[in-house]
Amino acid sequence: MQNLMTPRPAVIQRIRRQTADTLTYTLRFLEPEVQQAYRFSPGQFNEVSVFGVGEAPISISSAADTPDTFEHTVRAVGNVTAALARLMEGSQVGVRGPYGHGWPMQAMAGRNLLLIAGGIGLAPLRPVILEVMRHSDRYGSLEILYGARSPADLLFVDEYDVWTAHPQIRLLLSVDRLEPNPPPAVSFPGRDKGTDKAVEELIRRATVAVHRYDGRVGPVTVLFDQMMTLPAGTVVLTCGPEIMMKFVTLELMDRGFTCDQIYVSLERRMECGVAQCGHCQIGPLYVCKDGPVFNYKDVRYLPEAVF
Amino acid sequence: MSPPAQIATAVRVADEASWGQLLRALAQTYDIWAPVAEKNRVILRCLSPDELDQVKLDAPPTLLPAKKVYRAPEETLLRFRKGEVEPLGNGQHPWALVGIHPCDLRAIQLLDRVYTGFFADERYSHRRQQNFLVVANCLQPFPHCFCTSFQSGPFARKEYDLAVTPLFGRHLVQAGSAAGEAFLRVLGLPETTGSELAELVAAQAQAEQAVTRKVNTDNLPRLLNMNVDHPVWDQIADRCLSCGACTAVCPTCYCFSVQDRLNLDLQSGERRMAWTSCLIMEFSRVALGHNPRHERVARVKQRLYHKFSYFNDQYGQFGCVGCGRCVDTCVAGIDPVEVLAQLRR
Ligand SMILES: Cc1cc2nc3c(=O)[nH]c(=O)nc-3n(C[C@H](O)[C@H](O)[C@H](O)COP(=O)(O)OP(=O)(O)OC[C@H]3O[C@@H](n4cnc5c(N)ncnc54)[C@H](O)[C@@H]3O)c2cc1C
Ligand code: SF4
Ligand code: SF4
Ligand code: FES
Repeated sequence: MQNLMTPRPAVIQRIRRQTADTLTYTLRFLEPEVQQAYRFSPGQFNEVSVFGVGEAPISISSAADTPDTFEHTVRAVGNVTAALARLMEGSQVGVRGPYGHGWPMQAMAGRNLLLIAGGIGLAPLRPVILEVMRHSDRYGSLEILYGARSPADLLFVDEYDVWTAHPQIRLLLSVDRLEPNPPPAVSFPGRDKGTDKAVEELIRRATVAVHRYDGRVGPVTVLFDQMMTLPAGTVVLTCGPEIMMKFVTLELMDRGFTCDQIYVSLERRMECGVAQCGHCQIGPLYVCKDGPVFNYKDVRYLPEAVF
Repeated sequence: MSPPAQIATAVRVADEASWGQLLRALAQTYDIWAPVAEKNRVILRCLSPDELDQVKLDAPPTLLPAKKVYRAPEETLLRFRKGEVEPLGNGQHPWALVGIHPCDLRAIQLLDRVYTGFFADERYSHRRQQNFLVVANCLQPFPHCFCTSFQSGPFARKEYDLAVTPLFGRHLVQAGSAAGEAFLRVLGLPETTGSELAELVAAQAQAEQAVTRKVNTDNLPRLLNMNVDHPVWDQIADRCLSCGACTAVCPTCYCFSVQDRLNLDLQSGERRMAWTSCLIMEFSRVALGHNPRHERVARVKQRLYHKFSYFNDQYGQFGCVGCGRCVDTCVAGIDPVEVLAQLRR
């Protein structure tokens, strides 16, 4: 009997290295009819399985209107994510989804967008950036404030020039420090001998990008002084470590943004994605079903002092 | 799941012999799960046809509640081989739960909301649809019961197939669903014209009186939300051992964990789900170590806030049915009735 939590097989078409510990996987469901029927909205996630290891919730990082494939950008931090990092192109994984509520695409139409991301938090926002590039007439300006621990941790470095070639899009970068970080949290064997070289080259390009985009040293909030987006007519989307979002929302409120124009993507331990395992609960909310994206006004006073 | 039925009014009287006949008739179609005495506890288990005389109708709450029948403490979610999922057979035989208490019956209705309300779990639905529920009304509450505070007992109101009340040496049986009615008709148990209905009404009133432990549920979620910093939380957190026994025995606790098991061939294996508990430290830990409920007091609060506040937001009802199992089980003597009363002092 098929269960609610039964994944479908999907094949890794392509793997692109982002950083020493983060890879982007282009996937396609093995069964064409499953791939054809698959639709998601930016900000939603899938449960990705490596059979024998486990399952993890991962945001979809590709454009919502690519019918043949979808992408996940995954940082190797534990069992499942490190097992993913050991797979090759052509390998098969299990995928079920999409789950949850993504970014408020309706409320975003016709508005200026301000994206504030930290680290891996840029992954669920990439579909929004791609959406604005493809349908620029539907949105106002798009300003991206992106912070990472070091240049070596910046994601999607090769795409920044393409993004900012768009007259509507502006990108500001910050890093906690300029020196590269200590080695990744989880070590995993490189897929080929060239990995170290590839990582070195990525770091070189990332460092160039930091200079080109006049990057600042400090938490992402140091970018607020350079930010051009004004509160009126703007929707703010933010995703990153909880502590970062805490400061970002406070700072935004100081600058005249109201809580109902801010959206946050929350992260909690998940083991089902379908409001049954109970792990992701915060107060009355199931992050997997009611989120992961919430309007800030709905989560501002959550128990357990999230904000 | 059968639609809510009216409170049954027609009563049949079964003597010892016809009650036995009823059980044997049920056993023709269903596996019988019932409370039976085992060592010094009462447990819910599947009975073989020659054990039907062991069914205990006036037993204290079973060690584990009925949830274990619908979702076992550990079960296989799926099997895989070389990255392909192998379908699980549906070898489940339909079962009848005989002699469950009204509070446990209500708990099943709450589990229905959890497992089929937002997303329908086919396996759970399937098990629910083909089950047959015989509830045993309680005449005498047990020391920790407080079902009347949540209108979940001591007599069942709805959503059973049969209700049985052992009264003065005979079994008074009422049908609560079309399936139950049909079953009684086939069995040929005639409806009584005697005073049994009046006896039942009186017995119910008396049983309700006998439940003296109470939770004042007026504005309870609000009261909790206003008392997140009340000293009682630290007091019980100091005593709690984070063992998770209270959630394991709770008929409405539904949380589970998922784990893959790889066979020795390293290519095949299964994905298992197992009950877990929000009291356990690892429950909310995420990769790289962050844990939003690292402090025990946060976990102790999660259990009681979930039962008496969040559950209402999620499913429109309190998440406690007052069965008293957690009180009975807790070695530290943590008692929700007592904790909630302290908030009002
Ligand atoms: C909605 C959502 C979207 C996410 N999107 C991405 C993404 O796009 N890219 C990315 O790299 N990471 C993402 N994460 C984080 C990612 O889910 C965790 O890093 C991952 O679950 C760790 O699993 P593991 O097996 O490697 O770690 P382990 O520590 O071995 O974890 C064991 C299990 O715990 C659970 N778990 C552990 N950490 C987390 C966590 N942070 N969040 C949820 N469940 C967890 C998972 O069920 C996991 O299988 C997302 C998390 C959420 C909740
Ligand atoms: S919280 Fe305790 S009394 Fe309430 S239903 Fe659960 S085990 Fe029974
Ligand atoms: S009290 Fe804890 S274990 Fe029980 S259902 Fe709620 S979160 Fe799950
Ligand atoms: S992930 Fe299981 S309830 Fe949300």
